[in-house]
Amino acid sequence: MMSEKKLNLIILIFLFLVPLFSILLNNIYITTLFSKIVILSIAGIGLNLILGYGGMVSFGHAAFFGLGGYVTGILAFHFNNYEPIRILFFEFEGTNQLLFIWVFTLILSSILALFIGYFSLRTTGVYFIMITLAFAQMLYYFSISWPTYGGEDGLSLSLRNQIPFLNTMDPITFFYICYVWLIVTIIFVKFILNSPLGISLKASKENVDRVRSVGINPKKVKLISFIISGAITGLAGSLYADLNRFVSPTILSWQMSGEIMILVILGGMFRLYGPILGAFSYIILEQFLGGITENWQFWLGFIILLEVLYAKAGIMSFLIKDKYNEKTSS
Amino acid sequence: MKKPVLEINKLSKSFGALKANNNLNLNLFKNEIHALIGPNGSGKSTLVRQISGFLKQDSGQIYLKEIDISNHSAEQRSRMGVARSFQISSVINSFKVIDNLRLSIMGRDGGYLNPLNNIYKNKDYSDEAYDLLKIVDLENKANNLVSTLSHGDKRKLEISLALSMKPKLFLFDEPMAGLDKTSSQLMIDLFKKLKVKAPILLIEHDMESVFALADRISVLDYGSVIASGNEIEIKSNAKVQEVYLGDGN
Repeated sequence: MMSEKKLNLIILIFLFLVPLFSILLNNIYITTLFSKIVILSIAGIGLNLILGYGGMVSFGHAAFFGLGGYVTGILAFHFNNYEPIRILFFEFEGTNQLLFIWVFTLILSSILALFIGYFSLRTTGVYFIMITLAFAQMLYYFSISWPTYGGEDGLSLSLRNQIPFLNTMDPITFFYICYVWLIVTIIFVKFILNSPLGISLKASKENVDRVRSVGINPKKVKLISFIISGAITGLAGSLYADLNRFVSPTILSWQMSGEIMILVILGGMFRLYGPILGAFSYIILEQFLGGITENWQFWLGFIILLEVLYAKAGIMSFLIKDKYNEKTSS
Repeated sequence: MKKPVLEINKLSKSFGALKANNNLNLNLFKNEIHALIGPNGSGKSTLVRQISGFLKQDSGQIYLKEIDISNHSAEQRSRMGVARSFQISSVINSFKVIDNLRLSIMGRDGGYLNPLNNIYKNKDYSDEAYDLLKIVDLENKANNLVSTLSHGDKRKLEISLALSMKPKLFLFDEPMAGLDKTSSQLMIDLFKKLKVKAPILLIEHDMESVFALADRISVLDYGSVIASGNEIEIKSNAKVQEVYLGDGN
């Protein structure tokens, strides 16, 4: 057992050293595998902002993850084919520059989150789950039926998108790009959690009447948080598309939403670093159990069942001293 | 002529066939504690919920210092100075005591959508929060989790939250409920001080507290005011005796 701060530091140092282990073990696949863990961690932190801290059970975050992936894929596709993108009366060029792609992704994911959040947040509980799922499924079926970008077969990227002076095709370089985004995400979300928006979000989760009686509109608080959450998850989707150099409707499916949610619950919903441990455990279990049996999901389900029954605060609660609800306010 | 801080004009609210408030008229003046009493189901809490904006009235108007707030949201009314406590203590249990105050001060001042300023490092908020806790004698428990507080302390915290809104009026819904004699007396002493800051509309079943505090008492029955006056007038009113106080009082 250790303090939460110490564990968080260990997690970050460990992740930073992953490429070194990879080189020492002469197995570059480890770096690629951990790039996936880092990307899913970012998506998980995005979802955790509204799920863990805001109590909004979104079962449609694949919509943002997939949008990020498709924005990345489509911009690169048009750049590579020298074909401009035409939307109504507008026409613009594709790009393979990640800095532009990330900005596009963040803007479009935010707009989509505004749209989905505006309607979804009129509901609560099981209806909120269903409406977020419905929006994601709409996008999923739309992507399947869109032959221009591969339809069901998806869209391949011949090369990873670029950042000036960096070789993004190098697995270690790409890992550190993802790592930097993880750090930025953690810092940003930590800022939010200590900000007026963050404290209002946590309070809105627990007692809407009290929040309203002190002059705070909980719907606005939840909507802004939902938008930020969607933007973060969209960014993760963009990185995921570049990691795999492939994007397909799978990343818009409800299974993807479930996967992000599972890793948040697995790691610990009420902790900033919980989703990182969750993503690590999920991917390692997938690799380890997948090597033993084809039905690895069965055993994963069994592990989640045990966790839900005996460790609701996730893996982090096993490793740190204090209980999750003792520090939710600071 | 003295103008009321709160004026309620022909307020009505029905739930199906049940008339919770029926053409109700009521006012509240500066430096006054106006107690609202009546049997269970007479429409007292429904009235508080309408004044605070948590429930929309079917008809009628609510004026706060001559401004019609009938169509304002609960959040707007709170920021305008309608401060309330709840029948069952309603605080953020997973927060520290001081963080509940930080939340309300921030809510009052606006800017609650700001995602970047660190609220825990805002010295102005902390200083004001401690000052408010001193008023209700809770400053020593500022860093305690609310979930660990006694019922009486939660009631005090609710009062400090209402105070933090720079209130123009207080709506206190059964603040003595569940308190022992000593705590009730402390609350009575506190309310006597508070009414100078803002008038109080007090809903209370504990008649001892009501008679100790109220400058004016109105009695509600079936959603309408059946009598209004001082302690002696209310005690001697035959209709009030019949529907609420009984012979014992």
